[in-house]
Amino acid sequence: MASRLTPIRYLIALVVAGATFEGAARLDDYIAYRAPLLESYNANVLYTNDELGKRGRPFAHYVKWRFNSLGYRSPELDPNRIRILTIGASETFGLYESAGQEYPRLVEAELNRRAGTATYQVVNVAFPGLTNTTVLRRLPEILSTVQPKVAVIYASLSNYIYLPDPTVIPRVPPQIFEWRIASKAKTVLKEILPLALQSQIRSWEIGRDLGGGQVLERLPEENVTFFRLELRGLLERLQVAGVEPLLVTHATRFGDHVTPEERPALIAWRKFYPNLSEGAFLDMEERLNQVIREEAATHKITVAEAAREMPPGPRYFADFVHFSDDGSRAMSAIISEKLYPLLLQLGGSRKR
Amino acid sequence: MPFLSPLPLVAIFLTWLAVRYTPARQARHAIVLLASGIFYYSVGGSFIVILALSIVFNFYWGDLLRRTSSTPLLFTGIAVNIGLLSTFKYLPQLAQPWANLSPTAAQIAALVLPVGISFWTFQGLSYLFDQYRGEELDPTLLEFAIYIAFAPTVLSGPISRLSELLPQLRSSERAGWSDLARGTQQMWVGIWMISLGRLLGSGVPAEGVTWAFDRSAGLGFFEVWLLLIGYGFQIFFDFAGYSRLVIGLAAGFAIQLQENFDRPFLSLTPTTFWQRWHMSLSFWIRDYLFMPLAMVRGDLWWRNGVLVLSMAVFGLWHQASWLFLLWGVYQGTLLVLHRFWQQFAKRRKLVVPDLLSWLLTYVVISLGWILFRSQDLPQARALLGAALNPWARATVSLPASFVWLVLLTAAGYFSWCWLSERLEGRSSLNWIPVEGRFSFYALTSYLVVFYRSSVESFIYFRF
Repeated sequence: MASRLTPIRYLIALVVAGATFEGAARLDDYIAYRAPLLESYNANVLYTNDELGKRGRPFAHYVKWRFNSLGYRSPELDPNRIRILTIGASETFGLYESAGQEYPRLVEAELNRRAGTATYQVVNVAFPGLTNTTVLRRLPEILSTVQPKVAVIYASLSNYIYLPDPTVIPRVPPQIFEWRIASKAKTVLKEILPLALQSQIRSWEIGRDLGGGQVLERLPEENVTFFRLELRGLLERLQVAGVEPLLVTHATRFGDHVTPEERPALIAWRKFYPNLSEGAFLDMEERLNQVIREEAATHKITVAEAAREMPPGPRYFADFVHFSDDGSRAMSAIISEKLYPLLLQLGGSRKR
Repeated sequence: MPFLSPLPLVAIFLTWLAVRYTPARQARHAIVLLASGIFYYSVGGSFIVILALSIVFNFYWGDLLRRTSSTPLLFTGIAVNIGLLSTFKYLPQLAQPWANLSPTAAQIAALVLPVGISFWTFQGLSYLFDQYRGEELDPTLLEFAIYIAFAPTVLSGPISRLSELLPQLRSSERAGWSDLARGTQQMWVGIWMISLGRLLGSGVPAEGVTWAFDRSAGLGFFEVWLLLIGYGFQIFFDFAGYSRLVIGLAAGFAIQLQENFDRPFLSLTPTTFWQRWHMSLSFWIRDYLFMPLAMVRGDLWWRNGVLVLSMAVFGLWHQASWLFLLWGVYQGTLLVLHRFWQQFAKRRKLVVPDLLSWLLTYVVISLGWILFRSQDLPQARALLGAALNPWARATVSLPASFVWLVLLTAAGYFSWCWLSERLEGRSSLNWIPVEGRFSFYALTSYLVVFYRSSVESFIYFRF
């Protein structure tokens, strides 16, 4: 019977198999997350656009991420608690931690444990890729709705490798058809492919993306200055609004040097920024962290030294800069250690 | 699952190519044995030494038995094999209560079970029995080593017989591409069944049979029965799927292994069920334990007693525990009761409708899963209490996803059986249009790839 089949029948069978794969992926998503069967389902479902650009969609949910009515990855605002903002990018938003284990939630739990009552609420306004430029644009809205007493700032330093263009407003791209099976397959491939092979593929991709372009051996000084000015602007705006900033230096998986075992993680990081040489990443971290320290000293702001105190290594970091559950716990301890005395010192009413 | 990662699959294909294109039979056997040894070492590590010793001992002891037919020698051979099995399988459990009191007991209790020992020891024993009986078996050491350590069967059976394997090993025909295609198709069916079994175990998204058994204290009458149906299918798909996978793998090498399952949930009587469930062990027990003992005396009570004893051994083969002993005795009692019923019905010329017969069989077999799956006697007692009391109310409700999963699985299984009986072939998928087959392969691949990390390990590896 099989030998009498025409190539067309086999082609149809292959198409049917592809459709079955895609159908299974969509049904799987529906059962696991109640994802829509026919529409797109990726991280972009969490966001929407307004006049200021990309923002969290109220009540959005995607896999383990859930937003409140304001479009933040936080519980609903509690009018009876003292609020603390966490400003940052993907590290603060939380990527790899189990749901509820991202460090802003753990900081909240730790502060309340120390206080002995549910006194504090941490409102996490971070999104992946968020820069201080974007934060500054949306700050008045955030401050008026959240009314925080303290703002914890944990900037993602690699966002300054390519200078953000202040005239460009980041927007969520329109949803188009995507093969969900493809993204699932990519995730599985990442899990099963040997690390050495993954590094080889990434190195090839870096070379391809670079396309003969110039590789920077050091982050340009103008980027450092840009970061300094933006940070300064953010700090001053917060202070004018009566919000006490707390700065956190940026930690990486590598500590102060990259071991040969950790080089694959560095290559994975560089894949996002091929124009910066491998050796320049930790130098960039050190220089921008130094800016954080200097600005903190100038503005008399408390600094939590995550860069120096976070233990390096795969136990604490799921990739180059994003935390694992253990890393999130360690980060929460470092921040809480500085934040709680600061809150006690500020004292005062529950709201700003 | 040891066969289902990229590296083993590539290794299997390379071995197949080597076997396919090696003209000399001895060389082909050497390749198969080498590949099997590497495979066993990759799973069982240094236990390969014990496997090798068992092979050498049974081979030479069998040869001795063939020449002498000495009963003391047979019993010595049995004692050595049972001693080896007991040392790893039963002694640690017996030593467990004294582990805190004596360092020796602690060491014994910590012994790890060599992978597949229950299966390959029974194969070694059947060889000794066959040689003692004077069957025409004259394997070379190489052939015997393949019989015991053959990669597809060494971990979890089916328990083969040398009399079935030897002619195939000596055949001059080499495995061809059609064997590979036929074997691969069977492997897909096996993978699909395993995936389904694991889906039942882990649930969608995470509330399956395991979840429900962990909360069994709060289950009522209906919930317990649903759970038992679900567990019956879980263990069936898991083990029958693994057997199908292994049979397919061997078929690729042109080795026809014994079937291990034959639509057991369609059985109309407990006797038929045990001719269709874990057939390789069931027939082993029948041929090497029940029959020899039953022939000692002609009395009915003796034969029935031996039947219960045989099933008790069947239970204990899984694990030395009260629950498995009770499960075996329960199954033996069912078989005896069925015999009585057969005689009674024959005398009174009673005919039971097939549907009622099937339902009764399904119910009593399912009830037995309580003893098979429970963690301890109190859990078994609680489950039995709920299963036998239609008024037992639940304090824990089963999630709708679990109810649907079990009901759809049951409906799918019985529909499939109905369909396959009416269409050509039971194990072949060739009657399905190519589009349907490709769709089936895609769905199976999806389950294998995307549910591999969230699933439990193969149930019968524990035994």
